[in-house]
Amino acid sequence: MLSKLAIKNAKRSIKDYMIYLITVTLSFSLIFAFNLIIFSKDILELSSFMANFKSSIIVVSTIVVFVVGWLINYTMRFMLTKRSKEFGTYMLLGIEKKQITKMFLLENIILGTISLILSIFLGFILSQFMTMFIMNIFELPYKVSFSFGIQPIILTIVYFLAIYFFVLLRAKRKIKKMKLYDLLYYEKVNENKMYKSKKVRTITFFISILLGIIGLILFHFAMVKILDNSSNPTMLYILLSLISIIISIYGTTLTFADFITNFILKRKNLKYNKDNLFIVRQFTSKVRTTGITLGTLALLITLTFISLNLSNIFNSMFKIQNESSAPYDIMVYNLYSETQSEIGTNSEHKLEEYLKYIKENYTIEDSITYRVYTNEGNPIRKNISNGVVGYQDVDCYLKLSDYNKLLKMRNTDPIKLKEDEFYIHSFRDVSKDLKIYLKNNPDLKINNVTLKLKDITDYKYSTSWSRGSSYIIVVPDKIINENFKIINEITAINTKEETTEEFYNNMKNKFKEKVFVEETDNGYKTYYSINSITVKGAVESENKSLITTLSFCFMYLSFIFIAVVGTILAIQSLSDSTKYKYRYSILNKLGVEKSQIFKTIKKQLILYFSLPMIYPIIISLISSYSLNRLFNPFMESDYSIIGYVIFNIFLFIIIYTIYFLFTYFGFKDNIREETK
Amino acid sequence: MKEILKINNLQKYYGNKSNITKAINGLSFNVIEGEFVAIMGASGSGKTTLLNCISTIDNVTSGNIYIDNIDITDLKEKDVAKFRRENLGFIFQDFNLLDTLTISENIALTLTINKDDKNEIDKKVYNISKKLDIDDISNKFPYEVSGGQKQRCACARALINNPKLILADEPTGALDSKSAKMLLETMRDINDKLNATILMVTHDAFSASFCDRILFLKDGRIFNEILKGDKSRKSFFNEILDVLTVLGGDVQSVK
Repeated sequence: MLSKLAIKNAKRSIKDYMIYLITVTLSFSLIFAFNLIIFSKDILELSSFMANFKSSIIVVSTIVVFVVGWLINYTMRFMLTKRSKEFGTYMLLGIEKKQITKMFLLENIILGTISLILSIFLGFILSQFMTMFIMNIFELPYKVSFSFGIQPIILTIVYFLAIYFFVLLRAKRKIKKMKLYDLLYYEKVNENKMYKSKKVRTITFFISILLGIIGLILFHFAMVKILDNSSNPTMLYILLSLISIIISIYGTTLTFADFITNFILKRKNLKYNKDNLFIVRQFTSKVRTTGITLGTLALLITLTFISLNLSNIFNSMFKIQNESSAPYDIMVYNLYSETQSEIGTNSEHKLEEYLKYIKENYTIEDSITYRVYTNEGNPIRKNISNGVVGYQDVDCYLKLSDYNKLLKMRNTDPIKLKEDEFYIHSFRDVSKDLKIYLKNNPDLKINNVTLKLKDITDYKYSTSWSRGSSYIIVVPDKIINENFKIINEITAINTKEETTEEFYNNMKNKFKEKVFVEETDNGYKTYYSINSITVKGAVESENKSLITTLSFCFMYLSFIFIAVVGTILAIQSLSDSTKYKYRYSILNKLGVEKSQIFKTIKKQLILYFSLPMIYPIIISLISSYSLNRLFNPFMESDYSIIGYVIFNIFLFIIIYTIYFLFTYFGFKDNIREETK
Repeated sequence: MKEILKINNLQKYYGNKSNITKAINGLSFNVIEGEFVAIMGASGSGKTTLLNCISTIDNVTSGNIYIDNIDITDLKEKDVAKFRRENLGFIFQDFNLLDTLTISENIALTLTINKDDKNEIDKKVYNISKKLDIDDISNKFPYEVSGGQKQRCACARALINNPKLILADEPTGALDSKSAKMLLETMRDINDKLNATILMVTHDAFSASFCDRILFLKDGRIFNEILKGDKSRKSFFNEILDVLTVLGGDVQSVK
C-alpha cells in the first residue's frame, strides 16, 4: 500500500518537478559521458598529455557531484516543506512517521533511479558527440564505437549513490525532528524574514558595492603584478580580491532589491506607475526570504562566467602558441653562446647528425639555417622595458634574406627593404611600446650607418625566430658585418609528412642536451639545459591536449552551474505560483485583466531571474579588462577577450532563457485556473 | 430614486443534463442608491453564487443583472475586468489584502490599477484612511495589524474608487465580536455619510441588523424580505431571528 502511494506521489512529483528532474538527468548524463570519455582508450592514446585530461575531469566531476548534490538536497528539502501538510495529514490518519519517511525516501529513490537510467542512455549519446569534438580538435577521423568497459558505469553509480546517501540521510533526519504540529503548519513558518532596518540594508548595499570595487581593483593589480614578475604579493592580492568579491556578491544580492524598492517607493511617478508597486513589493519580499540562496546562485553564475571566459582564453592562447612556437615542422637550435665571444653548441651533437636522423624519418621539403646577430649598444632594448618577455636582453638582428626565406616557408609574402631601411617584427605584447619609442626615434644607428624605420608589425610573430626575444630587427644583408656577434644559429625545416610526438621523444633521447651549471651569489648551483629541438607534432599534441582538457573541464562546469541555477530559480518561482495564487486572484478581483496579470508575472520573473545575473555580468565585463592586461599578448587581437566575454554572456543568457520560459509558462498555467 | 442594481429573473444552474443543481432559481430584486442591503440564508441557499454573479466573477445561466443600467451579463470578456474595477468595490471575509504591500499601498493599488493621477493618489489614500481611522497604521504590513484594522483597510480599498456598488461577502466572518461591531458601525457610517450603496452577504443576524433591508434566500429564491424602517436595531434584530426560525424549516417538516 505504502509503495503504491510512493509510486503515485512520484508520478505527481514528476509533473511538479519536471525541470528539476530534467536537470538532474542532464547532469548525470554529462557525468556519465565524461566518465566514458576518460576511460576510452581512443581518447587517452591521442597524446601522452591526455592523462592530465583524465585526472582533471575526475576533479571537475567531484565538484559537479557536490553542486548537483546541493541541488538535490535543496530540492528535497523544498519538496519536504511543500508537502509537510500532506505528511501531517498522513500522520493524522495514523500512519507512523517511520513509514512516512520510508515513503518519502522511496519516492525520491524512484525518481533518482529513473533519472540515472535515462542518463546512461543520454550520456552515451553525449559521449559520442564529445568524442567527435575531441577528434576534431586533433584533426582525426571519427568513428562511432559502442564498446565501453564497466568502469564508467560503476563510477557514475558511485557518484549517484554518494549523493543520494547523504541527501536522503539528511532528509530522514529532518523528518525525524519534525513534530505533527510543525508538519501541519510548516508552510507558515517557511518564511523567516530578515528584520533589519532600512538604514542597515542601505549601508550594507553600499559597503558591498564598495567591496566589489575594491575587489576588482585588487584583481587588476594582481594581474599587473604578474606581468612585473614580482609574484610574491600577487597571491595575496588575488586571495583578498576573491574574498571581497564573494562578500560583495552576497551583500549586493541580499540588499539590492531593498535598495531598488526604496528608490522606487520614494518616487510617486514610479511608485504609482502601472504595476510597479505590486511588482516591487513582491520582489523585495521574495528576495528577503530567499536572499542567501540567491547570493549562492549569483556566485555560481560568476563562476560560470569565469569558467566560460577561461575556457575561451586558454583555447585561444594555445592555438596562438601553436602558431608562435612551432611555425615550422622541425627546428634545431644548434648554436648557443652564453658569453657571445665563443660559439658553443647546446648539444653534444653536431647539426649534421640531427639532419641525418631527420632525413631517416622524414622527407625534407624545405630548410634554412640562419643566424641571429646582436650588436653593441642595444638602443631599442635599453629603452623598452614594458612587457618584454624573454631572457635576451640585447637587440636581435636578422638578415633580410634569411627573414624572407623564413616568411616564405610559412607561406607569407616577403618584404622589401632599401639599403638604409630597417624593419621590426615583434610580439603583440611589446609592439605598443615599440611603436611609441620608434615614433620619436625612427632612426637606428648601427656602426656609423643610420637606418630609417620602414615599418613595424606584430602579425603572426614567431618566438622561434630568435629565441628569448620579443622582437627582431630585420636589416639589409649588407649591414651585418664583423662587428655583429652571433647569438644563435637556427635551422628551420619543413617536412613532407606530419611530424609526431613520438618522433620528438625519440630525438630527445638520442640527442642529449648539454647541462649548464650556474652558480648563484649564495653559492647554490643551478643546472639547466636548453632545448635544442622543437617538433610541431609534439607541440601541437601538447597544446591540443591542453585545449581539450581546459575547454572541456570549464564547459562541463559552466553547464552544470547554469543548469543548477536555472533549476533552483524555476522551482522557487513555480512553487510560489501555487503558494501565492491568491495574490493574483486578488488582483483579478480588483479588476486587473488576465492578460495584464500575465504581463505582471512576466515582469516579476524577469526581475527575479535577472537579480542573480546582473552583478556577475558586471564583474565579468570589468574583470575582462584586467584579464586583457595579462593575456592580451597571447590573443589574436586587443578585443579578443572582451569578445569572448560578451559571447559568453549571450551563451549564458540563451540557456538561462530556456529555464526562464519554462518557468514562465508553468507559472501561467498555475495561475490561469485562478483568474478570469 | 436611482436603481443601482436591478436583478431580473436570474437563474444559475450547475452540473450536467442528468444532474442539475439550481443554485439560483428565478430571482428578481432591486437595490436603490444609498441602500444598505443584506442577503441572508443558510449554506447552499445560493447567496454566494448570487454575489459571484453580481461581481462578474461567475457567469449566469439566464436572466439579467443591471448595474447602473448596464447589463453585466452582456459584457464582453475583455470588458469585464474594466467594468469591475470602475464600478464595484469588494470586501471579503478573509480580507484579501496583499501581504507584501503596506496598508496604504494596498489601498493605493486600486487607484494605480485604475490609472489615477499619480499626484492625487497619496492624498486620496490619506483622506480615506483618516475617515476609517487607519491613518496611523498606514505604513504597517497586514501581518502587523489586527483583523479589524485589516478589514477596515479592505473597506478603504473598496471605497476609494467611489464605486457604484460595494459587495461584502461575510465581512465579519473572521473577526472577533468587538472588531465585528466596529466594522459594521464603520460600514453603517460609510452608508450614511458617504451615501455608498452596499450589498452584504451574511448568515449572521447581528451583522444583518445594521442594514436597511434584508433579503432571505432559500433554495435559490427569495423567501422573505424585511425592512428596518423606523424600528430600533434591537427590535429589527428580533424580527430577523423570527424569520430565521421560520427559514430553518416548518414545524410540519419535523416529524
